[in-house]
Amino acid sequence: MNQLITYIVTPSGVQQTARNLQGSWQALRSELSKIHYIVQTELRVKIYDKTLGLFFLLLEPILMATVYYVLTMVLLGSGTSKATFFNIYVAVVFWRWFNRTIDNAPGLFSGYGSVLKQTNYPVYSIVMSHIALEFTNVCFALVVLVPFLSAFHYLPNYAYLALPIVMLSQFCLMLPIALSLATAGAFVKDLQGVVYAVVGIWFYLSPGIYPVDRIPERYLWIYNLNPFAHILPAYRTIMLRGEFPDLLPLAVIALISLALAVGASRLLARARYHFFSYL
Amino acid sequence: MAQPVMTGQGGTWLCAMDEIASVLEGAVLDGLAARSRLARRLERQAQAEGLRVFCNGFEDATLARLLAEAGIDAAKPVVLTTGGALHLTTGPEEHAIVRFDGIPDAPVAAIHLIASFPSNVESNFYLEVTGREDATLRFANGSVTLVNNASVARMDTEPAALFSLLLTGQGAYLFVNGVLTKRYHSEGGQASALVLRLVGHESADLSALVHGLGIWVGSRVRSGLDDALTSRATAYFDDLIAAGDLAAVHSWLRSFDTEVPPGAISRLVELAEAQFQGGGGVPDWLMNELARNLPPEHRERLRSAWEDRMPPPSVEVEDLAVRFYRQPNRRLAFSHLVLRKPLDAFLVLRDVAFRAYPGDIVGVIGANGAGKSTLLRAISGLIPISAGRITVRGRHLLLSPGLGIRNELSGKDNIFLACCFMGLTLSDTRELYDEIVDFSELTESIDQPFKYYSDGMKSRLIFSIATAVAPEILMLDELLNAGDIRFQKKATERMDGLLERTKVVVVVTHSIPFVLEKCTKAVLINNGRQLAYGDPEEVVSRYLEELHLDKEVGMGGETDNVATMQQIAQQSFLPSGGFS
Repeated sequence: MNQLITYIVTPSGVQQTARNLQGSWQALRSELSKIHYIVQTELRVKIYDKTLGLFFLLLEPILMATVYYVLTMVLLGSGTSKATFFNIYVAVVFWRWFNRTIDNAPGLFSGYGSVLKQTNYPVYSIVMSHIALEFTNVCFALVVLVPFLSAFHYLPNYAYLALPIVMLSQFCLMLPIALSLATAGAFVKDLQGVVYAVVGIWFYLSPGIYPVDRIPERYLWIYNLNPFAHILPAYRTIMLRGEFPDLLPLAVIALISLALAVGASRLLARARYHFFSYL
Repeated sequence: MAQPVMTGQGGTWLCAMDEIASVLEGAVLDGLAARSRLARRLERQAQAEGLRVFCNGFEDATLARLLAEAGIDAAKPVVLTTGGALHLTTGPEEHAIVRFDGIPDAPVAAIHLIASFPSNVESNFYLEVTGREDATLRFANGSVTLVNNASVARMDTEPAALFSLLLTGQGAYLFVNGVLTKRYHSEGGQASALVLRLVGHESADLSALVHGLGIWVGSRVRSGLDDALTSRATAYFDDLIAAGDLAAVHSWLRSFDTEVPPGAISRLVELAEAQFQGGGGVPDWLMNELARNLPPEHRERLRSAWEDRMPPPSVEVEDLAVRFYRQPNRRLAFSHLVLRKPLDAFLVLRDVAFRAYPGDIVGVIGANGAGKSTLLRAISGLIPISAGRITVRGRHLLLSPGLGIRNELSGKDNIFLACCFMGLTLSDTRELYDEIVDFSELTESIDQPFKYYSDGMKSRLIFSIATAVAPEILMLDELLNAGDIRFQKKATERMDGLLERTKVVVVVTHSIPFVLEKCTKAVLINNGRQLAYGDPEEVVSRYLEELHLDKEVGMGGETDNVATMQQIAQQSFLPSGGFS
């Protein structure tokens, strides 16, 4: 890549001359390979090289589902059934993907503080590395979930073809949230605590440990504004009922989220210039 | 040191110095006999000019005798050697001062000093004349500087040499072994005291030897001295232009504080227009300095020709200012956002402007906390600037120690990770991997977690990674002293190779030898302000001035570590009642 790149730094920010198409494509490929490498090293540090790392990663969703099942079905007396347990288990697997991605977003750039204060390493790569890492974790969870479901006669079926679509919709939803929280977290150090609390409340406002039909009809229109009111039932529809979910709400969620992601990206680009004093 | 011998016309002083120059050629001045003969010549010279002696510390170790009678304590930093020389020594945080008070107010003074610096003196030995700040000299191992205009004369100062300072109403003249070396125009003044000062160094013992000192004073020198110098300057200037050495022309202009002779202006402009066809950096500062010495019409011609021929600068900093908040987190606090409490901000950098062209190695120097690292980060776009503009043409990289290292990862993983963060692709890193590992001498430990490495191993690996990359524009933040002593030679050679592979280098360093030997230009930052830009020697000189200003010792204080003698006035040969 021999194209001369010119940077101009002013009080408004940093402008860079545009790369040509070939240069942009090469840069993208290079960043993707780096993201891949970073995810590998993070997995090694956080999971493989730890004593309980992989074990805990694979079994944690089951343990969480069991806790919720005991709490809601046994202790609160809603009645026990295999179907209820798996409803919760499936929801917990994909909710964990969401809450791990979002909960850790505010502290993302602080963790790379020394890098960001010394290099122009792309901040988007840091965010994408984080999202890719958590996506890898949810893939590990699926490796346990699918056989577990199969053992209880919830076998993989043609509806699984829609699973990537639902996951893509959830990915699009997480993208602007992660970008925005990562940006804000660079400046507001105690944001992470607030996010923990909000995400926790959000879970209970989502059909994770209860079905949507528990919501009174007159409140449904508000409830359905929650994207997870559509996403979590879609997973259950695929994995427990073997049917294709309604894709229209998922498409709407994805489109709106992508539009918001563009705005969040611009915000991050402007904020990046001011990171130094805060990281 | 190559300088012309000023012979012939105008002024017995010049003739006398020419004689002294021929006598001193090859002479050894340490011995008493040589000093005695010299002293007699200097006495005759002074008498010819109508000067009266104030202090003659050459004859028969008179200086030493005077000081011995003053009761010098061997434990103090100034002692007498067996040869009768003054030996000034200092340790960390010490100063040694020899002061000659009571010089009668004299518009003309001739000061002759025989000194040598066989040991380390850094750049810390000063000759100062109270009342004549234009005459301050700074001595180093390898140079003597006229401090006022930061004009440096390179010379070997280990053997004893005669340094003669003639102070008149027109300015100050420095002769070294009888050869006129520097001139500085000033309005003159009254010399009232002479001070020899050795400023202590925080990490070294320094020493200087004074073999003899003579001071003669008077009301005037014979006329014709400046005219003689001017006519000689014109002839020598013509030689320099004919040789095509623009740097030597600039050096001459600075050394003799003079304007371009009118007859040489056009040829100088033509020489400047033909310069800098490519490679080796672009000394824009030199052009600006030369332009300052030209009449306005030639100045504009030189500048426009220069602008046409110069390549675009790789790094261009224009009127840069950077403001920091003392508590940046409070910008988002309730007290500021709602209650609108003002925030305390301060300027970290201001009025910074310089250019780096392909081939330039720019040294950025200054005291700790001056803003040097902030400057590099501003150029890299890592911190917001408050005013000005920075243009960077090319891929750039800022290297500083410890980039992105993760303790829990192996050395191998850290190599790949650090290279990622520095902008390399994985395939680039694989190509460099073996070289990095070999250079760091960590082949057997490369798969161990970084946290188990010794400090030496860590610094070797970090240095090896950081210097494996050669972008178009390289910025180094104090990376030059990495590694232990055994590793230093390898590290130095690697740095040399890195500098050769890179188009432009901007380096923050505390290494003065590096700036003088490697840099094509230098920038001095002090308290966030750019104090000097251009010739590395001049910038270093100004840096040393700023450094030593902080170490000024007040007279009468700190007597535990300062040897001060004020008795010479009483012992002088001047008739009572002062100068007549």
